[in-house]
Amino acid sequence: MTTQRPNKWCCRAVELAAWTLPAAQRQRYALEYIAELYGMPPRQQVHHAIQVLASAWRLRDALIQTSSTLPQEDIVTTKTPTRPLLCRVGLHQWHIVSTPDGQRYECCLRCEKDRTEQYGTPMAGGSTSGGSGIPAF
Amino acid sequence: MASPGPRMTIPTQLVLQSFLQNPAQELYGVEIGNLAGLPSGTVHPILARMEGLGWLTSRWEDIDPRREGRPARRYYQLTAGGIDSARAALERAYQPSRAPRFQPVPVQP
Repeated sequence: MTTQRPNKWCCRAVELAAWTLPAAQRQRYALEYIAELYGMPPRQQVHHAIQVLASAWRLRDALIQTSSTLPQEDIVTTKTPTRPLLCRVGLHQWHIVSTPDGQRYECCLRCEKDRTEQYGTPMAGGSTSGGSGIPAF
Repeated sequence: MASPGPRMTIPTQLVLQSFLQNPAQELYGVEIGNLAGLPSGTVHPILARMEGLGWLTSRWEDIDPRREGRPARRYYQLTAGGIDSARAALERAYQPSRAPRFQPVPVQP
């Protein structure tokens, strides 16, 4: 079975996205992105290529971050054992921050609590369906 | 023991939930995006973080590109440790706040 080659401009776009990544990862992601374009309708190829380009910098940050991660035991020991009084009574100082790969979320500046934990259920749609949104394991 | 994980942002939770629907299944980027309900092309930063933490492994699809008429895809799968870590991280993300909440006290006449 043969799949039609994707649009060359979409291929160029995803190659450009891969070019922004650390040299050791460029080839892998260029091949991965192009492979994903195969079998997509032309319109979806354009959409996908734009999304890949838009998230290239976040991927770059994630790759740089994960290549120099500290041992996780060290991270655990640096955590503050107690929470500030205001945070204990629920008066957090919410602030919008970003993960290493650029996703934004709300976090308390004092105790580093996430807003998603505060309210329990995710606010966006997606694969969650009612209830807590956790699939039954 | 499950290791402390990354920030459980909503896209991260959705990606992990997609994998946990069938932990043994291997998925490639576009499939993961479709299952998670996220725009295609935006899941790779999350996958890179998970792979860096050792929660996911990836491998090239074992096909003959000439015969299939397309290049090999990169498939991702949860590791054994990643399954436990992902479940624990999702449970932590959904844990209700333990902070005391102020509630009006009914006044007795």
